[in-house]
Amino acid sequence: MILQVNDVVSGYGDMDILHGISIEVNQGEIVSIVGPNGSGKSTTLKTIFGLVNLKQGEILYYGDSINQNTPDQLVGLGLSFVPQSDNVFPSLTVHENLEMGAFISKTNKKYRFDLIYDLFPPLKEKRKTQAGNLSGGQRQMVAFGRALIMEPELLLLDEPTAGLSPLYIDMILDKVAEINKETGVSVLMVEQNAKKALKMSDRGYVLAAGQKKYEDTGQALLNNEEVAQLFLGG
Amino acid sequence: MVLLLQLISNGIILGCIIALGSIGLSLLYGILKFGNFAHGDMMTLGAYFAFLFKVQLGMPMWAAFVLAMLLTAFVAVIVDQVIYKSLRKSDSIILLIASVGIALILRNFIQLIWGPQNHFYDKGIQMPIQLGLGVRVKPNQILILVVTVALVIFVHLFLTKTKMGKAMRAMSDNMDLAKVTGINTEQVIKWTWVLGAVLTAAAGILLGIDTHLLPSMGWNLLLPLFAATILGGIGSPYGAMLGGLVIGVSQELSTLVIPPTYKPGVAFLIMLLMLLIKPTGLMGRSV
Repeated sequence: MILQVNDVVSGYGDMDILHGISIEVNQGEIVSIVGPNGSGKSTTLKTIFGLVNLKQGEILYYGDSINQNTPDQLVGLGLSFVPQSDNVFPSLTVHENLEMGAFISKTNKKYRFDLIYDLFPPLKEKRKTQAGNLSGGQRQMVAFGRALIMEPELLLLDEPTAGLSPLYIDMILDKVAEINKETGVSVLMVEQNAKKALKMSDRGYVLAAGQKKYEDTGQALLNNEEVAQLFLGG
Repeated sequence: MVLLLQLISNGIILGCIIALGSIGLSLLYGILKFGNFAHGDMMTLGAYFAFLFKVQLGMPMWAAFVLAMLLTAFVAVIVDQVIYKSLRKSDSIILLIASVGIALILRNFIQLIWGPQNHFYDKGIQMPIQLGLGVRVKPNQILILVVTVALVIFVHLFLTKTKMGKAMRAMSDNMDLAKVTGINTEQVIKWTWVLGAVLTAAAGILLGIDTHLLPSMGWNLLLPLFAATILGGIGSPYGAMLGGLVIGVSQELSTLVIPPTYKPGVAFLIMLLMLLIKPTGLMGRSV
């Protein structure tokens, strides 16, 4: 098991947002977290990545606690996080954005950049363009590339399709599946497009009000009538 | 006409010094999000360190220059680690007030060690060089120009070619994303202080070469430094270079119409106008 989140309580200041959440990700899986707004989906990812105060519970990565690790240490361990918004450095070029993803690496391994450009061909032409001048979809590619350049073992995606046009939504989700298949990276993803996300996921979790409501394979959750009625809009 | 050209030439020299100081101020603002009021006094400290090495220890000027820059950088990093680091998560106004305190400490320390009187790196007068059209410059002023251009090129290469420089720009863009990306932000902050201190020390030494050393020399330049930073767009090092030149030349040109005593007021006026008309500055991003 690559990631294990055990009974986690977390939040900002005195306010708790997650009230005892447990989640698992197995090697090579795509796992989706779905649920209504404010259910704590994004907070779950941020807690794993050490961006939100963990108050109780335990987060294990390959069986070792990462409760106390800072984000740059986590990147070194093989975790990688794509935030929902503002996930590129606008004044840096596409290539520089990727370089920042490899900041902790002592050597600039060229093949890594080639891999990213192979994965996202549009970025290769735009490698010298400032990321701030790209379209939303291309920016998302940069954010993905930045997160993938260190060849992580676990990729955390916070609503990767938020704010994208329908065309790009499918493209980005297909990319997630492709990346998972080709590189073997495990994916833990929060997604608004719950149906699409569950369809491509090995397993899924439904959160509501900071608690886990359902947990099953992606397909089973899609077929679950209760889940469909309450959370997937019928 | 001659007077005009002479004032522009003087303004460029002053602009160089202001630009060097404000690049660091702007970088620090971009990354730490606070106005470092001790920046002027760090400039003074650099100038006095060079005095220590050059005059008191008898080293050659170039060696004194380099050592003073490094020593100032060392002091800046120590101050950051001891004072600012623990305040990193506080409101930026608290950091700003702390920097005012550090400014006072530095200035009084300088006055304690080296006294309130004027000091000079070199005694004697330099014969000005005729540039044609009646414009005259001192050889030292050419030195100031050359050193500034060299340092500005160095800063540009550092920010665009090195990983640390790119990380500084990344952190200035988005601190939270920088952390998530795995950038060691504390390490980058240290290097930002080193770069800012090296540049401001250079500015102080050049100012000392152009005129003389005085404990209040940097503090007196703080307003033009901030004006240049704001004019260029806070957080934009390239804007700061441009801003420095504009402020320097405007201050000198203003003496055509108003008494020289009011020169600093010109910087203030430009800063106010910029804040009213285009608060993001000439080369700043929308914040």
